[in-house]
Amino acid sequence: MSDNKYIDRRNFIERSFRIGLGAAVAGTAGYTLLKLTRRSYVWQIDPFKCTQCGRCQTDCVLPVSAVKCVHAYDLCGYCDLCGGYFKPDANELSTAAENQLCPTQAIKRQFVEEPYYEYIIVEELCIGCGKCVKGCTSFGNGSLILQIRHDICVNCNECAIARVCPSDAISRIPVDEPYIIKGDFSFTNKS
Amino acid sequence: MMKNKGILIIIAILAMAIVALVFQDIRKSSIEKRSGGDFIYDVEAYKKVSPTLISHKETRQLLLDCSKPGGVFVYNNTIYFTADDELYIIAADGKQKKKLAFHSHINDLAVNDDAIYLLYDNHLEAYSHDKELIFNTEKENEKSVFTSLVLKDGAIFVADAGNKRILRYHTDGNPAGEFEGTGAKGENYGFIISSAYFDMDVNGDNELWIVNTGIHTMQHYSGNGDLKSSWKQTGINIEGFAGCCNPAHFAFLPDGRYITSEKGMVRVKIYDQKGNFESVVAAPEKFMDNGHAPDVAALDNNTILLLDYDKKMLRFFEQLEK
Repeated sequence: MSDNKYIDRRNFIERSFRIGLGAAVAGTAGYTLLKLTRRSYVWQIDPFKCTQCGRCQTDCVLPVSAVKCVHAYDLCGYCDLCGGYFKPDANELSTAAENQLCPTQAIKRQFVEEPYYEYIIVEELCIGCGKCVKGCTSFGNGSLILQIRHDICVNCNECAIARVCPSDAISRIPVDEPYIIKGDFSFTNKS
Repeated sequence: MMKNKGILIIIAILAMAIVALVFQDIRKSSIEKRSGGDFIYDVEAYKKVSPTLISHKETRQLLLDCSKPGGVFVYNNTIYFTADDELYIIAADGKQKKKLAFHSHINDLAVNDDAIYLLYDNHLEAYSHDKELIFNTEKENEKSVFTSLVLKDGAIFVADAGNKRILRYHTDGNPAGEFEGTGAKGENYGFIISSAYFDMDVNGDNELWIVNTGIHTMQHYSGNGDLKSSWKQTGINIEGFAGCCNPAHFAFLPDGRYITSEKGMVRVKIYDQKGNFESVVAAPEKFMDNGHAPDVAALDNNTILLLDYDKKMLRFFEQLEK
């Protein structure tokens, strides 16, 4: 006597659907779990290593670099004579174009109250050349820094700027902490 | 045959020319030689100082085995300086006389016949010269960052960078008031202190001078906080002070001239009694890029002492012969 393993068509289709559905649910869950646990990485500049060489502006694959100046306001001195805003040989501390260090006038100087001025980065105009960052670092508190903006960056497998960065300031960092911002140490260290 | 030879020679020359061009192109585009184009901000020019402006030469360095130097002070031509939690007492020729250990990092110090006063982040302690505790003050609020300490007319003055004010204590450690500064022309915006640099000193005429770093101004105050006089030097060039917080440190030469020390592009300069730029003690090339301003003091023979936070050294600069 042999076991009767005959399955009728209706049962076969039902069973196939159940198996298919189970596999789809398990697959989706597995994929989601994988996405959640696997860390993704993005390129970012370490402002403590950056030497403002200018290559972020010239070597990004995008027509206008994904690197932009970012202002860490808690470090800023809100100075009248801002080393990041004015050319060293500025004839007066005014917003006249010839006095500005930024080649695209991407920094807005705004009077707050005597003797404080606020400096705001106009990101659409910033080309990531880092001139202001160099001025701020050399003469001020270093509150202006360069960062790769991830809404613009295409996250190349090999970042063209990282390849030519002379100070190895660009590396991959976890996507859940995508920016390296200076700040919050102004009064715990002599900075 | 001759014709083929000619063609071969032309091809060989062309091949050599192509190889030379390719080689030159590779050489030009090598990573090391690439620059950021026309958008580089060259601040190197501002680091160069004309040799005619240099008035001192470095004659000695004392390497410090520490993680963070504190402050330097000269009393009776003896050098007192702190590094981490230790106080070093050395003769003017650099020979160590004494080393005393305390409990935590000391930010600054002052010395007189009666005591050694040590400044911590938010309080002050006084010890006898034999290291017996005389008093310690109450801890100020958590925002306090004490950066400088001077003695004048039987009172102790402490600069609090965190709260942008000067605290006054009696010599027994009891509080005796405080004052906030004024602008260069008496404006009421007080001291503009945007980083933990806030220095003061007393000159040979017993005048209390405080640096209002945010407006690049040296200010002379009475013990009650009344502004008596001031001078200001703003500018990125060698004659001026640039940035948000300069001069970060200063001290007086025996004849009342000012020794100033700047952070960022670190440079140490001398200004005369009226605040006119006179000379450069140490150019930026002597220090680390974007470094901390060294604390300064002077010996009786005009030798200038710099406590270098980056290189962790006490550096001696003697005046060049004219």
